[in-house]
Amino acid sequence: MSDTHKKLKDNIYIQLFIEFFTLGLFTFGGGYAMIGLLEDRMTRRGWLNSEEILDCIAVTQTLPGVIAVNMSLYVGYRMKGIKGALVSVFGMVLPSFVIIILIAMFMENFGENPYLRGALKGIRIATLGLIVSAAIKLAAKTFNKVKGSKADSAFSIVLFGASFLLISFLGVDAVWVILGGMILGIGYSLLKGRRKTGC
Amino acid sequence: MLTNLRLFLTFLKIGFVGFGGGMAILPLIYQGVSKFVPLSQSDFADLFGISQATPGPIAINAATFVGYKAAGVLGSLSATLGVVIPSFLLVTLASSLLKKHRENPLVEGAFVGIRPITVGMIAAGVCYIASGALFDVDISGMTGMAEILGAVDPLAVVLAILAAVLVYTQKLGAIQLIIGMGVLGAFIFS
Repeated sequence: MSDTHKKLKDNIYIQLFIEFFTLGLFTFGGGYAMIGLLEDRMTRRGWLNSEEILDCIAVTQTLPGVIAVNMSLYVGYRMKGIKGALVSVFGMVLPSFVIIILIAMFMENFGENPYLRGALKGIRIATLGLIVSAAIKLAAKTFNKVKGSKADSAFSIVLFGASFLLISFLGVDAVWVILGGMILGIGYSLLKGRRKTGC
Repeated sequence: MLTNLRLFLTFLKIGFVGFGGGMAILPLIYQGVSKFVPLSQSDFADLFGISQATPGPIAINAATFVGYKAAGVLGSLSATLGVVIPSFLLVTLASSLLKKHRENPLVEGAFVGIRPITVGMIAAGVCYIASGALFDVDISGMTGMAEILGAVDPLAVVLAILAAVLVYTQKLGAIQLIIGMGVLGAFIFS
C-alpha cells in the first residue's frame, strides 16, 4: 500500500464517510432496520460500546427527523464534532440520492421484477437476523451491567417489559415511552440518592 | 425556482416536526407536497414502494423522489437538504448539551431509565421487522394466534435464525450477510 493510500485510509473523516455510505447503501427500510447494522459496524470499528449505542438510538429516536440521518449525525459529531457530523450525514444520504434519481430517470415498473422481489425478501430476513442479534447483545449488556441492588435490576426489567408492551401491542409512539423512561430514571435516581444519604 | 423554494421549506418543516422516522414521515410528505406538486395516484404508489424497496432511509428516498418529480435533480437537492438541516441543528445541539452535562447525576439518572426502555423498543422493532420478513400475507387484520402462526413462512424463519446466529457469533459481518441473503433470496424466492 502506498503512503498516500495509507494516509487516506487512516483519515477519520474518510472512515466516517465510508462507514455511513456503506450503512446507507445496505440499510433497507430506515430506522429500525438500521439498528442491527449500526450495532454490528460500530462494535467492529470500536467506535461505540453497547451503552453508547443504546444512548445513540434513544437520542436519535426522540428527536424529530429521519432516524438514520440523526444516527449518522450523532456518531459523526461524537467522533469529530461538526465536521464529523457533516461528512457522516453526506455519506448516509448519498446512496439514496443517486439510486433514487437513477430509478426516477430510467426505471419503469420498479418492483415488479421477480428476482428483485426475491432479493428484497432475502434482505428483509437478513435485517431481522441482524436486529435479533443486536437485541440479544444489547439486552445482555444492559441487564448484566445492573450489578447493583435487586431493586436496580427489577427497575430495569420492569421498564424493559413495559416499553416492549406499550410500543409493540398498544402502539404507543416510542418518543413518549423514551421520555417516560427518562422521567422515571431521574425519579428513581433521586429516590436512591435520598435513601443513601439517609434523609 | 419557486418550486425549489417551496420544496425546501416544506421539507424543512417536515424535518422539524416529523417524529418517529420513515413510515411516520411518508404521510407528512404526501400532505405537504400534494398542494403544489402535480403527482398522480400511481406516482404516490411508486413513492411508497420505491422508498421502501431501495436502500437508504425511507424519508430521504421519498424526499429525493418527490423532489425529482417536481423539479429534477435540483428539486431532489432542495427537498433532501430541507429535511436534513433540522436534524443537523437538533442532533448537534443535543449532542453538545449531553457532552457538557454527561457527569450531571440527573442526566446519568435519565439514562439509567432510558437504556432498558430502548432495549424494549428494539425488541418491539424485532416484532415489527419480523411481521414484514416472515409472512407472505398481510397479518394486520388477523386476530387469532393460530391464524397468525399458520401464515408464517417456515423457510424464512429458518433463514432468519441462521442469519441471527451467524451475526451473533461473528461468523459473518452485517454487510456480508445482507449481500448473501439478497443473492440467495433472488434465487429461492423469485
